[in-house]
Amino acid sequence: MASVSLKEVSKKFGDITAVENLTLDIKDCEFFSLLGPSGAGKTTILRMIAGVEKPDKGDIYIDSVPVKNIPPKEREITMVFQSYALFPHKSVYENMAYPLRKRKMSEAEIKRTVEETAEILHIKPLLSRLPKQLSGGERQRVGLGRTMVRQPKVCLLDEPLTNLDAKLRVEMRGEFKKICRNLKTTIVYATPDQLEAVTMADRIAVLDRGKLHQCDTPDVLYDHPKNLFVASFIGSPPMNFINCTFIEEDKKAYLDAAEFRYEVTDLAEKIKTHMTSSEVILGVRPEHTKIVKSMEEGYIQLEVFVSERVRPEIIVDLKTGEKIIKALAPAEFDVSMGDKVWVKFEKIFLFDKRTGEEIAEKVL
Amino acid sequence: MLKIEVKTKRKIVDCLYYIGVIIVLIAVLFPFVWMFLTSIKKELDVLAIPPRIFFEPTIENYIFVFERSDIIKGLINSLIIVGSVIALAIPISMLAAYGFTRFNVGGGHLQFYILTVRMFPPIAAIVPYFVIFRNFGLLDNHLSIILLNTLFNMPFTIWLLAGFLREIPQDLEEAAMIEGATRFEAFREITLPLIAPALAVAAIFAAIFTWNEFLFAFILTRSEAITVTRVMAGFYTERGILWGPLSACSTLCTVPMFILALMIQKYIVRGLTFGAVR
Repeated sequence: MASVSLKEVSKKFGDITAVENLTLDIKDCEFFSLLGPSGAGKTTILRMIAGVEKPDKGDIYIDSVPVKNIPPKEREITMVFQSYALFPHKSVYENMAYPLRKRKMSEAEIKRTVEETAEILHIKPLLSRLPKQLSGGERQRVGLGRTMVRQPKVCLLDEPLTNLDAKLRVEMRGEFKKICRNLKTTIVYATPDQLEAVTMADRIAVLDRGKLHQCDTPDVLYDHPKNLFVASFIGSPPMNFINCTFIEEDKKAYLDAAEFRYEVTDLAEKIKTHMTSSEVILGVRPEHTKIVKSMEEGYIQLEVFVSERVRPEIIVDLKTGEKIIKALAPAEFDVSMGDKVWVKFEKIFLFDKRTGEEIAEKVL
Repeated sequence: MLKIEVKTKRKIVDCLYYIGVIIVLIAVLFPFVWMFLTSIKKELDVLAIPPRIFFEPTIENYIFVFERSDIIKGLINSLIIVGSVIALAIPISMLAAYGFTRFNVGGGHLQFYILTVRMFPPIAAIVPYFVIFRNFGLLDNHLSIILLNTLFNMPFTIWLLAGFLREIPQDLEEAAMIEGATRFEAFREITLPLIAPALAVAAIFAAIFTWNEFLFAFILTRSEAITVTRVMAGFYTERGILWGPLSACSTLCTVPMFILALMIQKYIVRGLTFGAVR
């Protein structure tokens, strides 16, 4: 278990900036996730921590020791690659024994450790097989097993669940979390799947195209996203965004969207301080969008575009001008295309359209 | 109606396929068959027109070859040279290919430059090499032939091995290094076993090219380092071409390579189709 720090790390591949001026502090024994779409730089960051890639600028510290010039094998870290990187010509046993052989453990010790680890991962009957004879899930567990046989300071995981089919992925998520917790080591987990990150990690770094957007616990990212990107990435179904114009009329402030006006008088000062133009984006999560069938005070009338019955809920698509916003309703809520419903936003986020930064948020 | 048409079409296609294969087989095997038949014909039968299909076989040509030419020396020398070339070219090519693919040495330009060495006709280089080796006292010496063949085979073997190395994911070596191996250990324990078929293929090609090499052997050897190709050239005499003994000698010289190829054909097929499977 060790802490990992990146200070102003940058890495370019030719013209492409993989990582830009990144500073991260990962705590000892923390389950830390790097979350972002393809090309965000997650794999590059992991490889730099591992030592198979050198940063162009900046420093990396493991347990406060700068490791820039220390080769991978001396950093006491381990890594599970996206492809699992199992040695195709070695049996499962030999794959898992490899790190221990490199440490000159006795054969008896190796046998004991490998078999113990295989037992935990339910792969003991596969020990004599070759990687090509294994299924995706089995290979993934062997890859994990190879990292578990020794006590590394840091365990790096590069999208380990991505190559599994959907059902297996859901099953493995729980098992994975338990295994990782039992490892008692610092874990850095890269994934493009926000659900994985949010359910497994203590803290998440949200990345896009080499830049860090926000680094916080899952709850904070969900409740207080700093900008449009984080707000759109975290949460499923994703947050709705409605383009509005901020206007003031008769001592009241409104957000003017195509089909409705939303009063924001109490936030007016805050909006005016932080906005760079009058173009503001109203963000509201589907789960905070309450819909009812009959008119109520303060609700906005919108038309139903289509509804998707995803039990135990219903996702209702509502038309606002040209755009569609989604709302979540209980399964009993019966609507058809074209119905008029009344909508209330229970929690809203306001973002500046130009910069994407959060201006204000309000719970109603 | 339609069903019958499809079936007949298939049969026709199959027939054409077999005809094609037979044509290719004939074209490839005919010279060897002719050569072998000529080697067991008496001189009169060899020169007969039209060619005799039925004749009394004889081994007088083979006896001639063993008694009157340096075939034994030639075979031994060629084997020594081929063995040495493989021993030199393969490890060096392997390391060079590794450098090119893993470290991008020379940024692609160096590798291309090396490949171009093979693109000019070797005959263009023969005069400078003759002068160099003469000055070093290496004429009619195994070393000069070994060095030249190593040099001229390496562009191909490097290119071949680099191609195969690119197919092996770097993930594997990196995983090994993270788990405690040095780069060289990762290479030796992980990459090398995986690339063994390619090494076999490279070795065979180098062996065959070296065995068949005539130009340098002819110019640079006389009697000590004489190779099988030069021995064969000896059958072109002032009295004319001694077809019978020449065929016998050729047959004898083809045999070692034939056996070698037979032994390793499994690897050759595997090696050549490696890329396709991925």
